[in-house]
Amino acid sequence: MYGSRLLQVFCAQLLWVWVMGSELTFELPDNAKQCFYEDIIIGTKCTLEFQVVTGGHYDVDCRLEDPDGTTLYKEMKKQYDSFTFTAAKNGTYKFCFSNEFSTFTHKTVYFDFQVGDDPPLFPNENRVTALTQMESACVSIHEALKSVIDYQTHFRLREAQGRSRAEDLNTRVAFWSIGEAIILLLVSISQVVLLRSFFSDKKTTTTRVGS
Amino acid sequence: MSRRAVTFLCRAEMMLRVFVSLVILIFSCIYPAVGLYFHIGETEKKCFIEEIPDETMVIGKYRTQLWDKQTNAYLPSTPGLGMHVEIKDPDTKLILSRQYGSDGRFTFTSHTPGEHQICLHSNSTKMALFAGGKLRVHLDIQVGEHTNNYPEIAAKDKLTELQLRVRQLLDQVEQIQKEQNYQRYREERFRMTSESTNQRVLWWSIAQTLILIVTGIWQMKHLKSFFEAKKLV
Repeated sequence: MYGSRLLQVFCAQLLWVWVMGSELTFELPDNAKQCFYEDIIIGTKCTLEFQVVTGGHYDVDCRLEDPDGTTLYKEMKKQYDSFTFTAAKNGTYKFCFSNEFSTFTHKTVYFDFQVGDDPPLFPNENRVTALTQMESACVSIHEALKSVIDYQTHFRLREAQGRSRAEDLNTRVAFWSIGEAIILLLVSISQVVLLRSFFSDKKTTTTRVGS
Repeated sequence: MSRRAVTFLCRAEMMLRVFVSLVILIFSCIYPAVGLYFHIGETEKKCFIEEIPDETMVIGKYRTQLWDKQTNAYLPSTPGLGMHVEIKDPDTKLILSRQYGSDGRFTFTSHTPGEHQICLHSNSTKMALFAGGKLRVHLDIQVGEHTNNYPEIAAKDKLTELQLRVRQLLDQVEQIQKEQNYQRYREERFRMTSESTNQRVLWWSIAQTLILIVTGIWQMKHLKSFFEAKKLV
């Protein structure tokens, strides 16, 4: 019994080095594919979340594969998604974002890949004793604040998306308004010139509209 | 079980914990625990964007591994191979442009809120190094309160576990406050953009209507005088 406890302690201590989370925002050029890899230990609960921040129709292809190449998750032209899985095998997991369907828009993609739990605050020796009420209150506040920060991040990304659309609209309105005004002027002037040219050619065939 | 055996096992457990913690500490100093990695070509520049409020600290850690054709595996570390790190602030001004070795750690604090761009590219000019293909780069970027090293803070300020937990909560709340402030600033920008679009639509519609009316009137006047000159009217 104590032997297995010792083994558990040993494994728990080893595991905390390898449980981390990464969140990155990167630019994905058109017709490009970007892959990320991570070595995961069997039994770890992992979450992959991604969101397209700017570019085109705000969609991207995402694919997650396990060490043997089996596709665990595959979605085409998705704007935002979250996928949780438990690692069934030891090895390198690979996830790719593809913008190969797009011809000229490059996209900015945010992803958050959480592997396991956060490391403990510090390797405390008295982990065998239960947490005091104050400590467990602190732990629950910490978890709540983590979810607040997570919501803030998603809100920030949606706001960035909305802002990028608004700025795009603004430049398009300016561009097309000036363009239309110029076209208007050109068309009206060329109408008059064309009409004049009709009458100057057929000088001999004009008849006087007499009273 | 006898009391002696129980005490012995408890002591053994504690010693094992201490030993394993030391091993892990040493191990993570030699190989920083950066999990996520990707491949980068020789002349390729990979850029990452961090949208952060002001006075926020960002720490980036990377580790590179080169593919060795002889052993058909990635070498643990490559001397002589470096990565050039460039960091631009939201006004596209360069705030950091340094060369680091094959394992590096870069850090900066933002002074303006907004999108900061972190770009990495290898400084290798010898084509032979990359003849096998790609370079594997392990990258980890931590922002804001994740940059705090709590065991270090506990040791420096001599805090108990409860005090350390409260300190962590204070840092988290500070980060939330900064983000809310930044959100207010962003909302203002968004509002200014929308109002500018609104103004543009209004004034350009009026201007186009006026242009239409003026050109219509000019056309009629011009054609009337033209036809009168041609004695057609």
